[in-house]
Amino acid sequence: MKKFFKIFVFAAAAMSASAPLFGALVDKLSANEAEKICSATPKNPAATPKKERKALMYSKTCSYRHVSGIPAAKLAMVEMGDRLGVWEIDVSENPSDFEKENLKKYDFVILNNSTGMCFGASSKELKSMSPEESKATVENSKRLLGNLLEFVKNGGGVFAIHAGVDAYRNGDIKDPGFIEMVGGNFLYHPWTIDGAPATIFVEDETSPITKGIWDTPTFRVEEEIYMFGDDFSRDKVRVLMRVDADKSPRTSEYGLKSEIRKDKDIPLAWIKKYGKGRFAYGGFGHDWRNYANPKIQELYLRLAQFAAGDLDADTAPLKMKEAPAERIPLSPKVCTKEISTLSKMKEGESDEKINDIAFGIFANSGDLAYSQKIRNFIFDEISSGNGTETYREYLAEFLLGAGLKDSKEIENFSKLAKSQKNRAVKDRLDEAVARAKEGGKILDKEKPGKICKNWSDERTARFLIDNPEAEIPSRLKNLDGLSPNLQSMMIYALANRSDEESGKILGKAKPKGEASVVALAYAAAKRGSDVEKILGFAEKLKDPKMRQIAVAYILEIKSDKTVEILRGILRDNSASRDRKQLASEAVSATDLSYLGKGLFDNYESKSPAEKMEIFKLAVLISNAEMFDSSFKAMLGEKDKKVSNAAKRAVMKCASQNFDDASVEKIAVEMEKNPYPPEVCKFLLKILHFNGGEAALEIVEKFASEGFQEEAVESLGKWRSQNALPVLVEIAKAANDKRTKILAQIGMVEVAQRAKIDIPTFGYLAENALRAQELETAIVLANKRTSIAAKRDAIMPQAKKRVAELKAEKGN
Amino acid sequence: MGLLAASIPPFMISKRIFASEKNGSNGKLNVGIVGLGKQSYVHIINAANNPNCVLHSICDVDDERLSNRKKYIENMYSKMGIKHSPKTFKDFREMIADESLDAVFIVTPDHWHAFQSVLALRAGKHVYCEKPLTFTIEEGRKVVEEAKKSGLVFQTGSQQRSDSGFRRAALLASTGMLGDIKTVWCNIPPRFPLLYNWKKEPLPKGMDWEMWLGPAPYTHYTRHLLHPLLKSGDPYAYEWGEWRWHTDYGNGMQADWGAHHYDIAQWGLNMDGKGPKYVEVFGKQNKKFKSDKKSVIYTYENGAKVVYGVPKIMKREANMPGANVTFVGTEGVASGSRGGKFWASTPALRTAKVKAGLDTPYLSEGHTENFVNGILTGRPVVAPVEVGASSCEVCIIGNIAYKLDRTLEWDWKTRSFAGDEEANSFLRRKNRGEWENFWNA
Repeated sequence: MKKFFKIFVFAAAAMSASAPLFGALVDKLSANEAEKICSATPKNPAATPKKERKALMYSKTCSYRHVSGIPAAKLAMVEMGDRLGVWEIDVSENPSDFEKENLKKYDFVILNNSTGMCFGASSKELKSMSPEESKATVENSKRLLGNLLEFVKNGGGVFAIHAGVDAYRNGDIKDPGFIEMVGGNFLYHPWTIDGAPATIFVEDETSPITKGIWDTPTFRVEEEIYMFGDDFSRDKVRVLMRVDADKSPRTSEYGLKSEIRKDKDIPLAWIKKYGKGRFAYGGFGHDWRNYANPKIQELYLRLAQFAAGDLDADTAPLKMKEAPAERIPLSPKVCTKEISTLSKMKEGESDEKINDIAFGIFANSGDLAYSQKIRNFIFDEISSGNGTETYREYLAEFLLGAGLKDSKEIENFSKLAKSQKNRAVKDRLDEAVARAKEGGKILDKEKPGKICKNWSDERTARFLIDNPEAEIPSRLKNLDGLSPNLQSMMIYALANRSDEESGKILGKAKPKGEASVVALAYAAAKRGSDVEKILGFAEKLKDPKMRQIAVAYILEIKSDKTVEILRGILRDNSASRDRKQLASEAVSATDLSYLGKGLFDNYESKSPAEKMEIFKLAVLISNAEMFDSSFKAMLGEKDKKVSNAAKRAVMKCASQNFDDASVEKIAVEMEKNPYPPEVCKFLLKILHFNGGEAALEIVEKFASEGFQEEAVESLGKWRSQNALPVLVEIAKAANDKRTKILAQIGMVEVAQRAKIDIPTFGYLAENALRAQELETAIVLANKRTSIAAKRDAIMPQAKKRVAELKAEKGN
Repeated sequence: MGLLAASIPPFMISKRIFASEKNGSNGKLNVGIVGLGKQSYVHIINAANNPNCVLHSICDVDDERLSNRKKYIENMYSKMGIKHSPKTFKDFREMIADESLDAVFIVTPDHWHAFQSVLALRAGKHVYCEKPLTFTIEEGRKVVEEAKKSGLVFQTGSQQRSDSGFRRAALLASTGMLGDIKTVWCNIPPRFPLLYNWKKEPLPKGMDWEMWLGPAPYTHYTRHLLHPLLKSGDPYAYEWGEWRWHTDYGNGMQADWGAHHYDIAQWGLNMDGKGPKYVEVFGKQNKKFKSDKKSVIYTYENGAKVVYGVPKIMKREANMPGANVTFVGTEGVASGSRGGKFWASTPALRTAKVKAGLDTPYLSEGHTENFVNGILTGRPVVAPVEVGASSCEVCIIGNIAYKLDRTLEWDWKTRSFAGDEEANSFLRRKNRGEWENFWNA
């Protein structure tokens, strides 16, 4: 009873202690988790304390907070102290506990995931302070950190847990003293807690800190594993264990993005001297789970007793050792006794166990003695007819995992297979024997094919397409004499060849139908040929799908001139409609941005006709650069016709590519020179194409300058949620009902595209002027399961309002 | 094609009139369908509605399916104003022996694909074979060899290659517009093949169980492997063939969706016909299927990784259907999904066009039309046998690594694992009964 009482009290205390920082982040440790942690407490101290030890455990976070790891570490370490009498711990999140006088009370400090400027304040807090206050906080943090370093130098100890090293390590707060004490600068964690289990190699297995904890030199663990940067070197510390990076795939998205150190030296635990004092690091414990592992707790007991000064260990640096070659199988070995528990198995039973056994056998087949034992067992069981038929079927299946090693075994098993009446057993035994006999050889060699005499011309032509080295029968070389489909096939066959003769035949080809034109376009792409020729057959390309395919081939032609020729045809008045059409489709399907370079040079001095040509090309290119130049030209243009062409170009470019940089430029220009009203209105027609924060600011500005209605209309076209608060603001501020209704319509339109948010829903629930918008909002809100609680709080009011509005309308 | 088929858009059944042509088959291709399971539905509609095809014959090991689909097809044609009845076969060998047949759609379980493909090619039929193309690596090689020398068209049923959404994503990746591709995310619902000890059931009347098993090892009949048609409602409303989850008859989701998604990944990585260099195994507990405790990750020669899942940016910014493949490059992210759905991380990429003069991913007119046009005009198909076989290899080597519980180095040039004889023994399997020496003959 007493123990559980303590756990609950502890868990509750952990929750309240940490709340102040990081707003909503509250430490979390359930009673169940606490119980698991307490059941993994080591049974004996690693060393008898030389005197009564007192530790200060510090967990103030001024950066990331480990809401599960912090209370778990507290509980584990306090429980060790209580049960083993190795220390007494004061837990604190108060920087002033690091005043010199106070530190004197302690033998060592435990940095329990204390992050950032942990003796000061978070960057967010610093920003909210007055400059004097902020400066004083920073100064104070430096002073207290200095006190800690002094404390260790003078003979104290530090045990840093997991993110206890994620402090004073980068940016403005980087502190060389802290990094020196630790032995390195934390960088990031290539392995994450929800990634795959990593393989840890205990390099220093004779150290009193690690000795005897693990039976094998390597073990697997799921953990967020920290990597240290250039300030880390194993010459500065004594590494006790590290990740075997080669056997620990990084599988989380974060992990996949993280580069790892070239030397792959990524330790998880180390000890070192600092002045007269001691420093120990333990990387485990991102969350509570590894504290439920007695081995990890044993390691932490020893690291802390080292820091306390009770457990002596050699701190001389060690060279990096090569990790053992063997890999720890993910599926553990299954002994024969366990397999035999299946002997009474019938069909429809024990799927999970069957798979565990099968994977266990497969995974450990590298252990020759083990797989031999399994094979002997399988042989004996099947040959003696033990167990049910189903059991023996699965034994035969398991044999595939155990493999067969020598010819004697192969012989025995193939005899066994022959004697089996049960076909399921026999087939699987046969399979194991065949694998052992023939291994992985894929027996047949590729035999070159040849044209068969009885083949149709079509089949021969298709063979020629797939086999460019085969000789073409002369009757198929005369393209003019072939049927349209056969002609098309032969064009493909010739296109896949690089010889001169094929080129000559293709050069003279007169396509009989659409298929042959597509084939010629393919040939042009494969062998290189001029695009004009293909365009000459444009009138044969009727099916839009086929034309699109021909265009794709045309654009693959390896020539710098293709685009130039296509544009020439567009300008050529004598070119046929079909040719122009195909050329235009090709031009609009290709990237023309390179043509935009210098397009607007000397724009002012150009004639209106030339200017119109410029905008035509700008429309074709439609990139950010064309947007900026067309917009600039539009502002200064006096000629109405040209100005309209400019507007069209701007509009088209905006719809294709309205990037943030262009919006920024507009915002900067506006600051210097407010735009005339028509330009403001025009901008309100295009800003939604960008839809970013800067665009939103411009719309807000225009709304306040008398373009309220246009602004509301623009915001209604927004694709992202960010327009919603602005629409709510405008609706709230508007004096007239019309604007309010328009804004409300806009909110619902945006919400339909981008999900509704709580403030908008709340606003509509109170202020909707028409039932229809609110009803849509209710439907949209009902889809938002992630914000169900807040939504449900608003829902009654929303429904009430709908009823009121309907009643009003009825009246 | 598996579970993804559920998302196929409804087809317009066009009312077309057969042109009055001279010869018996009206100058159209006579096509047959082998395997009348759930997936045959889409092929029946596609074949019947293709103006260049006549759905000439159907084949299945189950009498009930044959009579049910025969009626269905007759109805379909009669709605188009045509009196037409398909021939029915229970043994596909008899079907492909029919001289008037031009092409076959192979829609059987995976363990049959290679055998039926090769026999159909030998019989002179063009082949459209469902993905995953084969059950083993060896089978893939055999089909490639046979197809290449056949003078016939071979299309793999990985129809995502004909979907504009995937093509756009692969285009941005393969032409370098996303920078160097670091990771390709394939959103495959994890479900590796396992052993299932299904209960023995009495064989329903009219089913040829021996033929269903074919070259695969013997097991007793169970509806999990071959479900009888339902007596009421939609006769095909049973669960997708569960053979795909059983290690002896299928290759799990790895192949079922992998044959689609890894296929797109290879497309965008310019690795068609090739493959990854490493496949690594790692521990990952499947929440739905307890015995499934691992997963795999591929690494290509250039360092690109191919992994399960969806990157966070997609969850945050893109509204894409679940069956997607996402390319993450140093300069941008692009994703494709079914039904022409496409997303890219910047507005410029969303509207990007490719420079002229570059090789771009093949543009298809629709997966079935593409096959038919390939037969008629010789235009290369979008998912030729080499592509289908190599994409299938990606799936299979993942399963071998999974089973053996270790990282494997794959040499796609020799289709074998470097220095791992045990792994190499899984490149093939012994076939049962009359199929025993099929590949060596």
